[in-house]
Amino acid sequence: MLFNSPEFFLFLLTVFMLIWIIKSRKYQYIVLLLASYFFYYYSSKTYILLFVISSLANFYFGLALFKSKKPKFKKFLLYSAIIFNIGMLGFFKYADFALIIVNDLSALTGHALNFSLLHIILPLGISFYTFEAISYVVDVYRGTFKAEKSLLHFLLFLAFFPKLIAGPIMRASEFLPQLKKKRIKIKAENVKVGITVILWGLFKKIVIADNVAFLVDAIFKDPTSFHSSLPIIIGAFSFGIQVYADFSGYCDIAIGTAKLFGFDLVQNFNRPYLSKNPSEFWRRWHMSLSLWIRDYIYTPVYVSISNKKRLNKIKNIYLKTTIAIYLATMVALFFMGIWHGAYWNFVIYGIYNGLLLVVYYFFSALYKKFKFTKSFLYKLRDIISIFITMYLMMFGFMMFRITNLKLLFFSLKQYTIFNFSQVAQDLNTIKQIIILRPGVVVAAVLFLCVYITYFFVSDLNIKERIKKLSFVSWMLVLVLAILIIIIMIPSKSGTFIYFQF
Amino acid sequence: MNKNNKQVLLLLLGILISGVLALGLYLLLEQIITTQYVDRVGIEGRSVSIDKFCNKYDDQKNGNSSKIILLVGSSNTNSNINATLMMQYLVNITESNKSRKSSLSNSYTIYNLAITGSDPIAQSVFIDCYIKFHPSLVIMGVNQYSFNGDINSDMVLALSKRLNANKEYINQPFISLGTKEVLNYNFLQKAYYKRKYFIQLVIIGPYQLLRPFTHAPSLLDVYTSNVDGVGGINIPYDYEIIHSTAEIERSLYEDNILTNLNNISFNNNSELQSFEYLAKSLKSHNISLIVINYPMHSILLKHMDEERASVYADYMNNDATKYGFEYMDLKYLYVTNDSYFSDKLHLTFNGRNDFTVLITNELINKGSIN
Repeated sequence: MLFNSPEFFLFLLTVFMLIWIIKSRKYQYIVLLLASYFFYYYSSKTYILLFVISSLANFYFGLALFKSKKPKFKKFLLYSAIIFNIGMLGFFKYADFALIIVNDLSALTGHALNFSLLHIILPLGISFYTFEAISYVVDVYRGTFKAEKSLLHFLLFLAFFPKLIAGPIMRASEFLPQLKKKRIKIKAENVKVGITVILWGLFKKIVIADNVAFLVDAIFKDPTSFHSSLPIIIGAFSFGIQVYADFSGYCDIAIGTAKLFGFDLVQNFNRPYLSKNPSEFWRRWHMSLSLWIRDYIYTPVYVSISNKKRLNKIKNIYLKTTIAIYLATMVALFFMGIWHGAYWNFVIYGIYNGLLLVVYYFFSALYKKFKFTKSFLYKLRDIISIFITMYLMMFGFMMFRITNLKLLFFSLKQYTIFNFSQVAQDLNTIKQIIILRPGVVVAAVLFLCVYITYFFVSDLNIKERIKKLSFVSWMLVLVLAILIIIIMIPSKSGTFIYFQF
Repeated sequence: MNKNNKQVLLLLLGILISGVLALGLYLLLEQIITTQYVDRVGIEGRSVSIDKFCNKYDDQKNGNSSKIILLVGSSNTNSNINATLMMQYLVNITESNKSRKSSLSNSYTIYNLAITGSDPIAQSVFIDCYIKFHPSLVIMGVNQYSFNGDINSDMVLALSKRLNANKEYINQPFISLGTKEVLNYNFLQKAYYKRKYFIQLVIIGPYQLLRPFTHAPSLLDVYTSNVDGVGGINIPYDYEIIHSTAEIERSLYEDNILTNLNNISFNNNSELQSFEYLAKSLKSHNISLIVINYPMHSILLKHMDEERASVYADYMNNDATKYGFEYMDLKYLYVTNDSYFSDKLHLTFNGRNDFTVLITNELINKGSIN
């Protein structure tokens, strides 16, 4: 059930009315849980069983961890929980990839094993709910969060339908306390904000992402059909717009939907394309995943490396720390890449971003040394930094988009080694595409307008502004947004990119 | 019901009203924009002119004993044959040879019903109009490019109010496109379907949208003002912008003309099906048809894939036998005379006059005009 489908809105209206009518907290949560399971079952059918088993197992792992007093047993329980979660994720997501690697490596050694692939269909949202479950058991183990005693609350934490399929990845500490309230009270101001945010998400998805997708698909279907670098650069930047509008649009719909019921989900994006360096980009892009990686991979790896005996031989504390940071960064970003999918392009994507961060850390001291006397020079430096960061991140996004390695390397080469031979012919081809779908241009212009506003207005405080809108003004906003969506809706409004993860 | 619940209810009502208002606004805008488009260059706009003309002809035909010749096709027919000159030429022959045997026994009225930028699909929509004239002869201009199928027939269906599923003569060529369901759409479905073209209509504009369809939209206005006159369009200054050889060569690449010309598939080609439908319909009404492959600029001929051209020629010759029309391949006629061309396909004023006389004489010699 896609967020941009009529079925979803019918489903949402039904659940909303039920929650509004029901006065008991317990029954409200039961309805929400059943609705969430129905939502999952609608798209994933029998995989619902896997999800329920995973939820139950993690609930009892949490309880056992909380009750256990013996450190060794606690550790055993933690490792068991992690192996269970990673094992499940690994089997469904990475089994075929592992078999391909084994087959390829064995072929290299001359003893080809030729294991047949399992062709497993990836259960929807498994990467998201597994990460939420892992964060829960780790937090309980660390003692930063008490295990949830209510099975209903815990199941709802993992299953809450707005964030079930593609996040944002919530921590138990962020969601479960919200369930301790008296009961769900449908508040007018939440409804107002929720609906507006949902529409904003639909706007991003339908008006921007789905329209820009047409150009991206046309270019990356066969990048070798273009002679110059320009189409590849246009394609990369367009995909950057598409993936941002698609995923942040999805998150907005999730956040808005949760808000209707009075729940707050974490923000996943904070104007990432205004980042002035790769490090800042990862603090603004898919924030719930970045923070998860930081807390549950980067930090443990950093601590582990720092405590390594070999590293302790290094007397220079600065060098020691730097080495630990660089290694932990590489490991964390490698996992971030492979989290997206079991393909080589995602491995390359992770390594590239790790290297990018390491290089940035190396030169960041130099970067900060640029001191200017005039304030506008700082602004200029920021603008240049934004463009360079965008260029580098879009380079990475091509690894995200193009799964065929041959086409990927061709595109990466064209992107970096500027080649403008026969550019007129390429531009003509792009012109033909745009003439066929001018919505691409409209979407790009709208996106730019939004971003220019973001650049000049640092804090839009949209939620407060929505709350203050009069009923008539709010309706006018709605009419305008719906009108634009109707006009711009492409014949095929695709699925969300992050659904595949 | 408490205040909060009342507000929630009001908000829900607000969404509903906003949705209805937005839809209403869209329908209004869609009507304004597509109607404006339709009146300017849309297929419906053209049909208005032809419909008007057909209706007018109904009133005038009583008492008119002269035979009718219709010129149909696209801009080539407008630019390459001067109907007024043709008529005048026939009158002059009769006048000057009154005493001789060579004098023509019939008088002729010639109408140019060519639709600029149209393709066989669009032309087949007006078959009833052609038949209504009871012409003794229909001269249709085509070239290989007419069958390239890049006309947005989907859009024609979406925009046209004229087309509907109940008209058999319209259905026939379109059914093969697999888009009959569009014809059967109700008002709301059709309005929603049109959203696909909304942005194109507003942003890019009709000219860019139907580029292969509309390379000389100004003709339409002239056409409308000339419908009362005998001979349809007669604009001496049109197509007088002479393109240089380099420009013509460049346009072949920039407009993807070569690709289109050299990649035409003759299997399931809806343009060909529509053309055949036209030929078949005329034959069933005992109307003679002459299909002319108009002269082409030497540059275009130089780049044309010989093999593909030969497949096309075979196809047309087979069709000629099958549907009983005469096919005249004149593409090489002015291969050594580039000065007769204003661009790769259209003749200049002088070229048109020369070609008109040539064609008229040819028709007299063949006995098609007697």
